[in-house]
Amino acid sequence: MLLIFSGAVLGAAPLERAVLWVVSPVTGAMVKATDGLAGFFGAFSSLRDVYSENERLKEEQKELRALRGAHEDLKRENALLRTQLQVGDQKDLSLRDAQVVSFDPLSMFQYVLIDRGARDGVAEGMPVVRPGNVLVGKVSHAYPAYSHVALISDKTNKVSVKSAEGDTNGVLSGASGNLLLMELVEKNAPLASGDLVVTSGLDGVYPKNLIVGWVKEVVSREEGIFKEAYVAPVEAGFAHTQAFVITNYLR
Amino acid sequence: MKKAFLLGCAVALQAAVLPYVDVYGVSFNIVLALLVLYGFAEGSWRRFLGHVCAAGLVLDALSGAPFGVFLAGLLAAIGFSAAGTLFLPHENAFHFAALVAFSSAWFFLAVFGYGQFVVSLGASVTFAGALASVAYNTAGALALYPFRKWITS
Repeated sequence: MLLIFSGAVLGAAPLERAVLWVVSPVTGAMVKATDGLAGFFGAFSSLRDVYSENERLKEEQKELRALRGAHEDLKRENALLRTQLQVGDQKDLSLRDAQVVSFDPLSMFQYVLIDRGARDGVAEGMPVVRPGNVLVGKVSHAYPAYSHVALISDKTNKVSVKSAEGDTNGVLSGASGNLLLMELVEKNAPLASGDLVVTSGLDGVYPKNLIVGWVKEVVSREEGIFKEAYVAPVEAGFAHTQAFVITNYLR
Repeated sequence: MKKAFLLGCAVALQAAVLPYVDVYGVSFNIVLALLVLYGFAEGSWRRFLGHVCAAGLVLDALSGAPFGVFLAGLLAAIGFSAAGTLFLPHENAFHFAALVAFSSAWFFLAVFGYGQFVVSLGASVTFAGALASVAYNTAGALALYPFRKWITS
């Protein structure tokens, strides 16, 4: 018990570092192996859905063809307006690839361990994304060779977000189960189920327009000036083993 | 030696594989189940205190949660289990299941107690999640029980 309290009070970084140095190669190899197996069984079990998905995709393709023409027009118009306003795209983000080597053992805490650390230019507070511009979380602690990443589903991790459609701002953090809670949303601001939620960039921690999830339910009470919304993340928990640390955004 | 090796495998499974198969946001605590099984079969935990501490420290290092949470949880759960073993016959699956269930509940109480009084936790487990975990651990431990002779030999 003395060990626990001394760890909590004095900081257990050297001990943690030593344990990670020994254990993480083993867990990293297991995560890789499990990821391959999960992919194999996932593909096998999804075969039965292929036919109905194919039909749905054909329908979607027809709609997309119609939208494509409109999109090209908007693209041209957007480029023209950018030139007129002299506004560039979001600054280029520098990404450092990383592999997940372990998850939270009991899924109680929303952290993962990645195989990049201070030696690779990773520092505390750097945002972490996964392929597809999906926000994962931020580096909560960087060891020389490894880093812990606090996922957006962690209750202590606050993210400034907005709805992609209506630009309605809010602050997001973990909630019970697999949902996220978007708070401090102005009561009269437009927000509805199904709206895409992205980072707003207002907190200075996360670049804007990283995908977070979709609004599942909006809760508005009579009292108070704010409403809140439950957001379904793009992916519950963190099942991917590949991630990218954004190394040039930390302020 | 075999027990330490199996425990090492359980810790690696706990950190790398079992989080993939969560139920209500919690995973099967195979480390806890294995430690309870060791003590239950042996009738004493004194020999396993080192195993408990080592497993708790490794889980703490891998988890990213405030340091000491898992160690505190395991020590509390195994302490409870040790007390229970004094009163329960050892060759009984029902007693073993009850021991795992109560130890799991005790584990959660210790983790949240530690989070309340020592560090600030961002855990996202609800009461329903804790109950699911107790049930999950009990079922998992019962699945291990038929192999107890091989596991503890």
